[in-house]
Amino acid sequence: MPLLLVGWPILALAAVWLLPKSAQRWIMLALAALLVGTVCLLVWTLPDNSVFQSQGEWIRVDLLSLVMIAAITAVVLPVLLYFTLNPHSAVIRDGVQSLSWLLAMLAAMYGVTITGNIGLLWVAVEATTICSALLIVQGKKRARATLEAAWKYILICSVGIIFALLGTILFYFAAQRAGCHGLDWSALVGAAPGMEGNLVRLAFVFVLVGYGAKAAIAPMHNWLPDTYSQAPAPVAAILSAIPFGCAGYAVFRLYALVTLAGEQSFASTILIALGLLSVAIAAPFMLVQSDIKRLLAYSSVEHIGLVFLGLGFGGTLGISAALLHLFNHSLAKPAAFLTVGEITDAYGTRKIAKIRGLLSQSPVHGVLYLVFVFALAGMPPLALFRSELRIMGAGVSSAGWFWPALAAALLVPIFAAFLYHSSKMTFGPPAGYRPLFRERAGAFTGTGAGTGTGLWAVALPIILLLYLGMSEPVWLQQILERAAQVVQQGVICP
Amino acid sequence: MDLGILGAIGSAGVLAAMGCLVRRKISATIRLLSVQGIMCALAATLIGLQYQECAIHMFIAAALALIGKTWLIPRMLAQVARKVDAAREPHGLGTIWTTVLGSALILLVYLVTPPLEGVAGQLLAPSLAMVMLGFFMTVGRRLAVSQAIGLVIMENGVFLAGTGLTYGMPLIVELGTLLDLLIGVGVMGVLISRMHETLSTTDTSHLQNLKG
Repeated sequence: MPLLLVGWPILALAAVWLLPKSAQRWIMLALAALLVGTVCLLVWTLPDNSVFQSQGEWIRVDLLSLVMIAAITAVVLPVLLYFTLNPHSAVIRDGVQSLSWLLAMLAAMYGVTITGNIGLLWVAVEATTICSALLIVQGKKRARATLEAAWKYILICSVGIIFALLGTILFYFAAQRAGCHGLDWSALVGAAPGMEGNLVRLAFVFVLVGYGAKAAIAPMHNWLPDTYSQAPAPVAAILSAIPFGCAGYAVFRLYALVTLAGEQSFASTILIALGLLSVAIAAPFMLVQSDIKRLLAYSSVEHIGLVFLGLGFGGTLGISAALLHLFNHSLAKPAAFLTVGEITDAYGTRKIAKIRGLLSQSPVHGVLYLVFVFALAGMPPLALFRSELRIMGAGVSSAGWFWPALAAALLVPIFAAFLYHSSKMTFGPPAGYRPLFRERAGAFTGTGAGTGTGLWAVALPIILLLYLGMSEPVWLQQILERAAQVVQQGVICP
Repeated sequence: MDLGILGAIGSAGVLAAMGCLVRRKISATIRLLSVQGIMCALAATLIGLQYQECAIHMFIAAALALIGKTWLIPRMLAQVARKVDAAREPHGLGTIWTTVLGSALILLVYLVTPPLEGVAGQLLAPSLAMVMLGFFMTVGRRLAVSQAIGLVIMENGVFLAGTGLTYGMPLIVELGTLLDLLIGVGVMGVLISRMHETLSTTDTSHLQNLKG
């Protein structure tokens, strides 16, 4: 049944080619409904041991994968709804080819999460790279900047992914020496305690460099701001599932092996260091940022840093907090990109300095923008505040007060950056000195093609962000704790 | 069979990588890439002959390497290079410095690689050296085609590591990685020709506009 998650996007791809263009938006709606339905069904029919498994483990979904599937779906859903509500949005407008690559990328993204074979996991991650690189260079404008972004993206991610393959081979080698043949999850988990420490450490370093590059962890994050700022907003929104739900997932998975092999402290040290470095690098770039989409992109670097920080702090507390943070970010980031995409379209620029008086021009966009930016900045009562707090709490209990305090201190300039840029953008009078601006602002009042109505797509993320920010549902807690158990023990012991 | 012959094949692969790094003529580096592919296939065949239990698997891997790494990928790269008139890498680091740094890299890899017994011991160091040289080529070269060639060298090194250390990944994974590599090189080819159309150059040192 998990295979359906890959099947639906491929089916939609076929439908997009076979059916007329006018049907595209309904295909998107159907796909969204089917994906959500399948995820609900997966949760509903969860077996007692919480694992869906096929013969030979080509397909294996446990609770860790399920959390990632939920996170990817949280990213995909608003974007698909946005396509339905706004038929003039970038990817739909660009024609069937763009849409096909997007759907192929969706299939690959779900493929990453449903396989129980770490070799196939690598294949699927690489497939997301290829599809998304092609998706970025589609579209009408083939500007210099787009090509530069796409080339940087494919080069950095390909180099990274080759290191990840080397790491995977080394894990396999270590497993073989420990008497296991196969790259299946349960076989690897069984062999992990017997693996040689130095081999496992070497393998983890390669894997972390590889998938870390794809997850845009500093210092391999350069491709991400370029790519996000050059891609159309809906594409940037959906791309945000790849560093978190796909590459991040791979790191969670293989961290579990390292933990089982008894090298947890080594892995944790690296993860904490890279996590802190990501937050630290994001902060200055956000403070002096002049491009609104790059601002959001650097915020992704910061959040993946926080997720890795939580993972590095370890323990049930830290890992479940990291997972929750990953999910919360998947709620906020695509919605923020969709909103910002409409704003940049209306203003005709991505320059923060030229976007002024948002609230007076379009209260809807202004308020939504503020909500998502506050969410990403980690402001209460929104969900990311809670998960950030939990990551810090986990850190205090496992690594002492110093590292969490340092991370929290690094979050201050990021918060300030968001507040500084956003207050100038939203409050105050509009900058009337640009005639083009007035003209384009007509789009806000509904005269433009569909602008504004598409944002109903972000209603659900707002509700969830508020809900998860103000309450801690027990069922969610249980799921996260059991998913953390997968990372700590490989399988869930009943 | 004397396992030393595997070591010799691995070293030939490293030499080919070093040749790619030093030569600035694109067609010559692509020919060396084919040589490297043959070495990969040869290594897989010999391991298959040596160990009966993984023979068929290794022969398939060798066939895949022969088709993909010696024929298809170099051909694709050569086509792209012809299409965008990328004949020679512009002067960058200079031959002497490239040789010195490349040799230092090889030396470093051979020094830090842990000694292992059997086939793994023969092939681990050469394959890691190939990965490192390919990486050096990817970051050091300016032409987009050369950077793609560097990536393929890295991937060849990983293939050698895979066959030497683990006698190949499960077959479906092997097929998947080769397919991904083929498509990846194809996509890079598409990007490179777009670059040529739009910027009328494929020198990536001109791609420096996105910052901050």
